[in-house]
Amino acid sequence: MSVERWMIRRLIGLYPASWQAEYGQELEALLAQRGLTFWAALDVAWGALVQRLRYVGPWKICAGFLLICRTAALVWNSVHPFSNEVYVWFTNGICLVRHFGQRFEEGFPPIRLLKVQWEWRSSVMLPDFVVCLLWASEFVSPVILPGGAAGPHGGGVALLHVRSSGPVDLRPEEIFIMEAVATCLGGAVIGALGGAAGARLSANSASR
Amino acid sequence: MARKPARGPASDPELLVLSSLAEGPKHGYAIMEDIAMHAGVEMGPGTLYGAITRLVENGWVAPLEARGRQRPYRLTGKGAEHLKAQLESMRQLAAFGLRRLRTI
Repeated sequence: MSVERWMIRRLIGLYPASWQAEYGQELEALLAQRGLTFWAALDVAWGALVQRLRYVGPWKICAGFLLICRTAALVWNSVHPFSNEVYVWFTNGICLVRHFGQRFEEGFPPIRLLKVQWEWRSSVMLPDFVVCLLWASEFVSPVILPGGAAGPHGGGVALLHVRSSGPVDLRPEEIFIMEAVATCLGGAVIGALGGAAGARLSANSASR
Repeated sequence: MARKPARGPASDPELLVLSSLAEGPKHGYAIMEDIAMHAGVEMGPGTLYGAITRLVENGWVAPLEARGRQRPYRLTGKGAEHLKAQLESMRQLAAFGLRRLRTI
């Protein structure tokens, strides 16, 4: 088997199995006929990612994205510990990202979304259930804390702090595992509820 | 990947595929060649099959029996209606824009 053919097989292998069964053979024939250039390979890889995301539930996308954010922040925090101020901004940022995900599913125009995001902390523009969801997600997903101490928004870790009646003494890997599990759980809950809310809003607007 | 296609509705992969199939059934490679020749857009294989997948799911395009490893696609009646509506809307927009430009 030539290197090009091997590459083509690997690229097509990136698509979901059901897609491959339907279109894999003809895409392989097309790539073999046309030749595999760098741009064609990139285009096929991008197409595979898009197809994978199309068949993945919103909660998985949300959980995966949050996990990446949390992991990056955990690494960053271990190198340059956050100040309290940065930590609060970071928490707000996570809320913002979560909210963006939900609103995109509901088909909000980005400009309106930004306006809503800008005002949401001090206004009643957001529906109550969204705010409740955000705070619930904070509770189920402990956030990264400066120097490992419980912070103002650290729902999960703050709870541990209260229950142990003393400072939380967790090793970095324990925090990481807890972050990963709780972030996935929080992402799943938010994604599922956001998806359901989006579907309900779409159904309501379609029936009007 | 379409190498820097002209932006705008004229570079929409689904419309390009539908327009190509309006001439008659074609397989993937023939669609790509047709689009490159007549629309000047070099569509990548991933983009092309992404568009074909969505078009088949919407019932605008239907696969025919495979010839060897390649399978031709044909435009359905629903697809032809959709294409006509889209092109009509583009025509109206173009006419409106051009009319306004003349008044400047």
